[in-house]
Amino acid sequence: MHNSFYIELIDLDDGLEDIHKFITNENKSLLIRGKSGTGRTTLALEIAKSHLNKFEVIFISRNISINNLHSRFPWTKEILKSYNIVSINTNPDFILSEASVILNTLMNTLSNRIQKIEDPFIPVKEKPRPFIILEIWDNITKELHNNDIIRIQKILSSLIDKNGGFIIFLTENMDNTDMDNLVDGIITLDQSFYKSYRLREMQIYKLKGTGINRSKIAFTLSNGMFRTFSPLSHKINFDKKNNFIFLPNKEKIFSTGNQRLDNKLQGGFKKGSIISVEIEEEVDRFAFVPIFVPLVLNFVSQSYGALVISAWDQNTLAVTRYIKPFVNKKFLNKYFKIIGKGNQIKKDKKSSEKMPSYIIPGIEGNFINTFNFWEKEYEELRTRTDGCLVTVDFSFVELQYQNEILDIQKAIINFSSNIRSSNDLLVMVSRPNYKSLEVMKSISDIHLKLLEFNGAVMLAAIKPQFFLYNVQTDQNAGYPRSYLIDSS
Amino acid sequence: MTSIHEFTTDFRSLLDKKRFEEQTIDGQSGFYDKTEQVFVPENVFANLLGNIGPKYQPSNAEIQRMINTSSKRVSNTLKNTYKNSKDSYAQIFLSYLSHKFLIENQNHPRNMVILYIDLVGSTALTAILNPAELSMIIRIFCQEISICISRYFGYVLKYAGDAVIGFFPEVSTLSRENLYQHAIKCAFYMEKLLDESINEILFQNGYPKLKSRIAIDAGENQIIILGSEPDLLGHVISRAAKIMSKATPNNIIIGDNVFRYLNDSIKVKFPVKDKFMLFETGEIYPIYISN
Repeated sequence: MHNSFYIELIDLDDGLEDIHKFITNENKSLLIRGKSGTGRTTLALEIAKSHLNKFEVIFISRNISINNLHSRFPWTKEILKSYNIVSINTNPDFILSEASVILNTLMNTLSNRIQKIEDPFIPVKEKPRPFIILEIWDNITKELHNNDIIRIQKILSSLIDKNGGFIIFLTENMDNTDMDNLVDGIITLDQSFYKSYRLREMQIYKLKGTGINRSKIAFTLSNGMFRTFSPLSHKINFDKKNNFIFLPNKEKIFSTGNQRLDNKLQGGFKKGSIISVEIEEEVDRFAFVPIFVPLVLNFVSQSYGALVISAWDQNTLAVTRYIKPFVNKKFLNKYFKIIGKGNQIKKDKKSSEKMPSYIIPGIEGNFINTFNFWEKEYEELRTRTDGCLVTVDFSFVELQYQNEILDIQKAIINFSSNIRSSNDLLVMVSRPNYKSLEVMKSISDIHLKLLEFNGAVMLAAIKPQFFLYNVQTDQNAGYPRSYLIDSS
Repeated sequence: MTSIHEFTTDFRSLLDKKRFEEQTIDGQSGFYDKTEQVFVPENVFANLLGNIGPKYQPSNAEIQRMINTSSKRVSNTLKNTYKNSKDSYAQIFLSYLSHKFLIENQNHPRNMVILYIDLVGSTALTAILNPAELSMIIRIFCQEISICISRYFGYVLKYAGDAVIGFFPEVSTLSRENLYQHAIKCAFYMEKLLDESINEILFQNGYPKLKSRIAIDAGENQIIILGSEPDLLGHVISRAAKIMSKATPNNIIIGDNVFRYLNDSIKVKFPVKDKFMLFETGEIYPIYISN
């Protein structure tokens, strides 16, 4: 249960902050451009949601009923009163579709806004200012000349100004027009495709009088809500640490330690499977922590082994600091091993601290010797457990043993074969353009990729194409955990 | 003319069709107040009128219930006062009832009791409260006093800064003696209300306690319409305002025109006799002060 509801509690960085400041700065109009299906209406409603303390939302749309709107956006029940949804028949043959009639309707709506008295004994609030979402702007303007469009826009602006309101124009027209100079802010929504996945992007072109901190922001419309993707936070809250709560492994499946990932992978990673993870150059190494650490902790916390072969350039402390505080020490000593630079205990004569037994110093020599050493440690750990996870970053192995590429490639194949036959789990990591990556990709059962999109880190399942997630660090769990948001 | 006694049972008769339009919004039936541009659901109206409607000779238990309800209202208002908020709808509606009565009875001289109540030391309050807090407290005071006047068969004539002026017109359903006694009881109830409800809640919320003084007189007044606003014109209304100067904090002062009609059990509550000379007429007018 714990894993199923934490998603709702997470505190995310809001990529709409600049837009909210822009509205608070007493601007009057915003143009949202985007083709059909890019999320213009969802964004407009999402923006409106944050300003309900001052504004009352009026939604002017074509042929939409309250039920229709609420079934499309269930969260708008709190935002939109039925009497503030103005539905206009935009059928071109229909007399009421003419611009003047629509303007009249708008004026009537503004002057007839209704405030409901809930408690007659508390002070009546000032009538909230109108926040108009004009979904039918294109319908109003499509048969009009440019000068008429500008005139209508000016009439609307003065109407809004008189009522202290704010208006959002939604348009499918992606071209620059004279209107660009008349509105206070302009946003464009767009979408592109990566493999079979959709990537959505918001571009902020202009926000009058407001600094733009992020001008390109990735977002999702998952569950009918507009949510921006923020850059991955490197912060792990060590002050509020908890022991890791494991997700039990099943007979034929190892859990990933993340409920959402398990759900998408039909339970987790199959025992005996080989996972390759490609990390793009733009994504820093930390991105692996909120995904990889729960996997290691999930193994160790339920008496399964985890062997981490650390990159030769880094201290093992860079990995163990995310593991040690969150699991029972006895379990750590018994079921966890990390091979790497073991000199993280400072050579202080007065210090009686010993190097923990789970840190295995790497050996000097050629790759074959090193690989044999890894296999020996794996076999030894295997004698103590019913299942084992092994992880290694082969791009750093390649860098360390640049003259032994062929041996490394053979080792990948042999190691995979060995782990597959033992029903264990091998997670191999590499950066693009390394020879080992090609071998890894071809022999792995699942190929994952960590990529950068407008500053956000995305996790894509490339083989098979199960999911595309935005990765966030969950600050509420008390241990390293990723918070994954569907990109859709 | 609508009898004020009836309005809790048949509130529709109180609603002017030009101003109140029956509507159903979001599945709720109620009335759209065109002047205020607000929708008042029927159940909210019922709640409102149940709490402001007149009570004929309320028992001690009923008075205590009214005090308890007032405490809840005051507490709620303290929590729900917004930066740019207006009067409560209860106050707006009470003003509407008052205007309605005056317009229906305009140009007729009418015998009525006039009640003045004002806050004592409100200038000192400005020194310790910020303007928002002060206006909130005066708003609370005015609302509770207005409801109190309505409960005792009266109407609010106007608010004048930190003062409320109420009037209790003679109606066929109440004898003059009964009406005057109601007005006096209303004044005593105001003191109790201030002490046990308003001041209690203000104190609990860290605000200073309020003091008031009340002056009551009776006689004939002319109802006139000045511009669009109805008002009262006459000797009595100015006399009531003037005798107020003789009142000390937390005292009620009444003119002889009222005193004469009271029964002995109420007269004893005004043991101090004084007199007031009206400069315009040279008349010496007896006044009586509560202890």
